[in-house]
Amino acid sequence: MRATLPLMAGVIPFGIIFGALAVAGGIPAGIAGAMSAFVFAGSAQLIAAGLLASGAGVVVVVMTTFFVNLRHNLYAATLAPYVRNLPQRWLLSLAFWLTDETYLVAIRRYAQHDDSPHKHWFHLGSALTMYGSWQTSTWLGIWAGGSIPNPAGWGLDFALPATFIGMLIPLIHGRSMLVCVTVAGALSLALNALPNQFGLVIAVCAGALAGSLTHRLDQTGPKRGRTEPSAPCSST
Amino acid sequence: MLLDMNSLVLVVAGMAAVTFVSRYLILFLAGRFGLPRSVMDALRFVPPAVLIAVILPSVLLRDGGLELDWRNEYLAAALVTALISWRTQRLFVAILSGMLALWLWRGLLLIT
Repeated sequence: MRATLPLMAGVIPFGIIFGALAVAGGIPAGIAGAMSAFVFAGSAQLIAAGLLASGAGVVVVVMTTFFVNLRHNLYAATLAPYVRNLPQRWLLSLAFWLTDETYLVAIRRYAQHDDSPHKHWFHLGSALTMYGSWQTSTWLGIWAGGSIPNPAGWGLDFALPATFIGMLIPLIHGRSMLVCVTVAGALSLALNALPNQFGLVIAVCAGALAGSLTHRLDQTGPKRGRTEPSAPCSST
Repeated sequence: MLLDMNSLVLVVAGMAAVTFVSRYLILFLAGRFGLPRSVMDALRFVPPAVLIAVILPSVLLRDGGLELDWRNEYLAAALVTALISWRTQRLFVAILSGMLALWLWRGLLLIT
């Protein structure tokens, strides 16, 4: 699929990084490969690898995955009107292979003003291309990571935080994101002593809440503030 | 300390389950009952919150204590990574600069 090719270029290095960091963090190759095959969610897998390496428990890793992947609900909600008449087996497959990249490619195709009844084939093709790239690049990374002796001595334990920083910085736009990141960051440090990384879950919830509240204040404040100083901020 | 094999299998199964539910549930309901707008807004803030909450402890905490010191080479490398990422917005360039900064800083600490 031509429309998916530029996105593959972004996903392949990501898959290699995941595979390499997972084995460097002590996660067995089979588990890393199974994650790519059954979970198929890049950022969630990287975060899970980081959490597992730092000693997190089952509940925390699964809960964090749940929160990180909640955004798929957004994608599904946007795609739903276009696919609602497809049979269940189509919905099941499109759902399993839904990712950020496939969503972006598919929604653009669905929104085009032609009446082709085969747009879901385009969607599936793009999804399968992404899946193939993700599996291949994960195993490349596992192989590369496994052939480096003593990864921490090379400072490779910093590769994961560095990857996260590179993912985080482009997301920070505007005051509400800054508030979110500040609250979540401060709490993650303050609550670090809680067992099984449970502080992370609290920090993330508080940060997301603080960010969305700020966002809502920013939106309603300037517009309503002049005429109606005591306007409630739940206008959406 | 890493989990044992059984727990790891459980982790993968749990991750697969929660991920699939958030991809499928709304398609299944066919958009008839959308999420409230406020929840949709809040979801945007989850990825950055998770990232910062994983980054800061791994960079700033050493043996359970805060290490805000120029001798913390992870802190120095993290600042370089953030700066390069901000200027270039490119993931690979940022990671490589960060790793390079870490090695340089370690070298410097050995000399001083």
